[in-house]
Amino acid sequence: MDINEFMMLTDEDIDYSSLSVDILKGLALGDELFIATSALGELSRRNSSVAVSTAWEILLNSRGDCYLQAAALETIFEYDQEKALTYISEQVPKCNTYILNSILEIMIENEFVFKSKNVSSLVSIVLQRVKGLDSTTQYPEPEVIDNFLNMYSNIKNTQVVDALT
Amino acid sequence: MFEVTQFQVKTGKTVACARKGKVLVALTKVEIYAMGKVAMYPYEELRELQQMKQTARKEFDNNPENEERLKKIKDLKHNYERSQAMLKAIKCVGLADTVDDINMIILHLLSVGERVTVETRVDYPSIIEGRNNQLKVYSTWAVLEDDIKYLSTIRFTPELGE
Repeated sequence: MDINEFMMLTDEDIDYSSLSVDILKGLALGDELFIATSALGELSRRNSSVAVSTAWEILLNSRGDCYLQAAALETIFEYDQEKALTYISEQVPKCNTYILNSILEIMIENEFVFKSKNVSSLVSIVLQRVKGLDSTTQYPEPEVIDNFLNMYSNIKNTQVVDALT
Repeated sequence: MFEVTQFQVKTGKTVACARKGKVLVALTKVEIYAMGKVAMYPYEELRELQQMKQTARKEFDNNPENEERLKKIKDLKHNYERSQAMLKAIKCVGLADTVDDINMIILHLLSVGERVTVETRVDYPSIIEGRNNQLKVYSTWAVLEDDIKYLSTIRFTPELGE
């Protein structure tokens, strides 16, 4: 079946587990964003190298919207932490707040990675962004911010200074 | 108003579409996606898995299905949040999840589809007049055999978080 025909269906109509890796990649990079998000998820469960390259193409070209890009970042972090950390350090000062929410969730779930010495400056940059958020913003979710600050605020005093100098 | 037809895809599945000439808009893309009706993700299960990954990592990693399930729920969440954001954008301009407003949006999209070409099919900009503001719409279309234009996706701007 042609990629375009899948995009006529709704996300719920598609059995992603029955699709080939090539079709999943085409859908993940396709125009229909609900389908793209689910296809990328299935791809990441099926083939990590294609999932990472597809997710990277989404982030590099800002394809889709913030929801698809958040899913792409989560996929990359799962399989290629170095690439994800580079993206996060470059984008965190300016990224969409929904993507920031995903970054905070990644950091909360993977504390051991972010408390290692070589990424401590990245933690500081994220802390700066979180502290500078408008209090009326919908994202990051309050619960996520609380968890993040509980986990990381104790290291901010020394490392924020390091990160900014 | 507009004609509703059942468009058959090769899987045999039929999709209910609004039709105007050679332009097709699947009703669910407006009625479900844009009206915030994508199903809610399992919130409690998500929080439990995240908590387990955070505080009992060895136990979490011992069962690979935990990570798979966590990723799956996050994908459901992304689609749910996108749908909610679309509804919020609709409400912001004074429109609502009503038959009249849904039909008005579908009619707008059918008119847009008539103007779209192969060159302009991606993120075609248009404006829907709400009751108290304008809704900026970017629609992307598939151009099928026999020059049939089929709505692939719609985005409203600004997106939340921008």
